[in-house]
Amino acid sequence: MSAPPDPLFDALQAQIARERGPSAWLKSRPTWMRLAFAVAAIIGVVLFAMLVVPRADLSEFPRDRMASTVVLLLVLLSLSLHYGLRAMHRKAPPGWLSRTFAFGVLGLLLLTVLNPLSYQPPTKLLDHGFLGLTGLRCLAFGCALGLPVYALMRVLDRGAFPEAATFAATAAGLTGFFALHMHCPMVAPLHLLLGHAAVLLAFFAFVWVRDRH
Amino acid sequence: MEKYVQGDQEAFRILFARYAPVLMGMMSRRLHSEAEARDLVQQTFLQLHRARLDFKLDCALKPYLFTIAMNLLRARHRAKGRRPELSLEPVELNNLHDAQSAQDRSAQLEQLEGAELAGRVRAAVKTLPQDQREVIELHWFEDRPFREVANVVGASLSAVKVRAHRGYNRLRGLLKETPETA
Repeated sequence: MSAPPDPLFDALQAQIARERGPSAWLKSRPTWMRLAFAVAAIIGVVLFAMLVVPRADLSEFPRDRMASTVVLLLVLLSLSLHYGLRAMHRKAPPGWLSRTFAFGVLGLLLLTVLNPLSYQPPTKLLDHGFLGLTGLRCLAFGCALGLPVYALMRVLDRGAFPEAATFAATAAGLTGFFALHMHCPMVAPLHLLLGHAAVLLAFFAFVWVRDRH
Repeated sequence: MEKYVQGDQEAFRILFARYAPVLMGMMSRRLHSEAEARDLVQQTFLQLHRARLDFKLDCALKPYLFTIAMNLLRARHRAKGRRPELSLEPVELNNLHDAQSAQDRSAQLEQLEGAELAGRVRAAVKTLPQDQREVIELHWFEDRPFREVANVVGASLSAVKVRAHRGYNRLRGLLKETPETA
């Protein structure tokens, strides 16, 4: 004798049946695989920026500063992915963590950008142009580079934590910043603020506007 | 669960039949809305479906499922901006007026006193810090062993026991106080 119909189970089956295609496949991968996809995307974006238009002053730029910046970005990216793609059977991070983490990351990037240089770069690398507006080109490029990472993380997200979008924005902003850091030789603070660090702000603003609607 | 992970849809129906009623009870007590409870139970099993490849086959399914449910519940309450509540009212207080016999009234009064006590306990539980409240709700009201509670809340066994100890002590202190008159 077959089991009596259960409307709740039927609704669940209907919802599961609607989940098909690459998006559903990605969401249902084990968490280690979802993380691997996100890491691969980030590495791909950064390598693209490094190889297509590598930083012109790489040989002059202080190695210790480059190393410390790269390590910081890797740590922050790891944390963004850890929380943003967290498995549902682990206790969810508290609601305040996503905003605190986002502002903390922004603060650290600002410190990185404003940290005085330990060497004297060529003058042209200090020319931030009128009101630093040359940074807008970098801002656009950085956002374009971070966008695939944001989109992938939203697809990989299983939809259980509302704060996942903020972690995805943080990861995307960090990726854009990282790629710009490996590509753009400009070291003028105003340029770095408006063109590089602002990539993170742009993604935060996008998530904030999207959440309000 | 192993069969379901391998693609057996009937196994999913069996899992649903086994755990959905328990989850419904848990959600109903915390949400006071049948529709919301059903929605969260559906979301819990949807998440189970999406996360089926994350499940380690040598682990118990119940803590896995209940952690998912608790996470969804916390997210729902965060979205609504309020703390989760637990209903402890065992009787319909309105029925007291319809009691016909002294025996009925006596039984109803006992139930009313139980309901008053339940109300005091509920109010006391609400004052507990969230980590203690969650442990006590799962251990006392859901009758789950500490090991399972530890899995659900994502803490060590010793931490859960400490939270329970502190929570129960606090509840004892609160409930020993003279109750307020209606």
